[in-house]
Amino acid sequence: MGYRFLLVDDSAMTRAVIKRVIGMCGVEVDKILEASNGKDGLAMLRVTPVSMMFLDLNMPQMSGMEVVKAVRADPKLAHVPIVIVSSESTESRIEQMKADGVNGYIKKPFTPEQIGDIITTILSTQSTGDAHAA
Amino acid sequence: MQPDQMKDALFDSVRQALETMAFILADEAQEATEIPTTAKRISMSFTGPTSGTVELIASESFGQTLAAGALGLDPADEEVLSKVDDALKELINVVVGHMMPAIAEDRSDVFSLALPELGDIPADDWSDFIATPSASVFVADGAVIAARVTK
Repeated sequence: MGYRFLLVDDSAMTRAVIKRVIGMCGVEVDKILEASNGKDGLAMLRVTPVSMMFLDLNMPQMSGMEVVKAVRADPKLAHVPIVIVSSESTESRIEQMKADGVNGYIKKPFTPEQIGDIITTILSTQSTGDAHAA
Repeated sequence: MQPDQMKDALFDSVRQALETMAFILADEAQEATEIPTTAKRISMSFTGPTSGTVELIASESFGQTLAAGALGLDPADEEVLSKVDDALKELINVVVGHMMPAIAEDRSDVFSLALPELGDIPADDWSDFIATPSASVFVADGAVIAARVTK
């Protein structure tokens, strides 16, 4: 049984790149779910438990920060590790993400190493029984 | 913020975005360049302490080069061909994202970004576009692209 990932980004190209990196980073993958907006991503998360999610900020229908707030407010989902992948990089935005409880932030464009490193860090935290464990 | 500062911030952001996103080196066009007959216009607005719209124009073949570089695939690959528009939208998303910290006057500044919009631009409109004082023209991987920011 491997890990499940959820990729929520309105850019199919970005989802394709992250998907490829996940496949190369040496973790056992059960499934990679994809959504092109926050609303669909949240709906998928409510149906299918995942080990972690990668989330864009600027998306149609429901922004990434709205998804973060909805996830953290839902006792059944609040433990899911969230990594923001966004081009938005003002200090105020990054501070807001931390305050809202995201587990990591990667600035676009990213390197495969950045994605691989954050997956390793978050999944190893889960396996040691951290409060964010699935 | 002065218009020249905004233009410089956009210029740097375009170069940085192309290099980091798809390993494409872009230089300012030094002389009259051949204008593509069919091109895409991508725009993205931002609001905050300073507000405006960033626009890019580029040929579809440049979009193909960009998508191939970002995906690490051959430009003729089917997956690349299906993601040309997406790559151009992602380019402007990255450009605007890079630009915001450069134009922020205070670290607490918050900007709100609209979603990227994409459409065709007739070849006749290129000259008007690049005649705008805020416009920069680049040569990137043999292709011509132009960028400007308007308030």
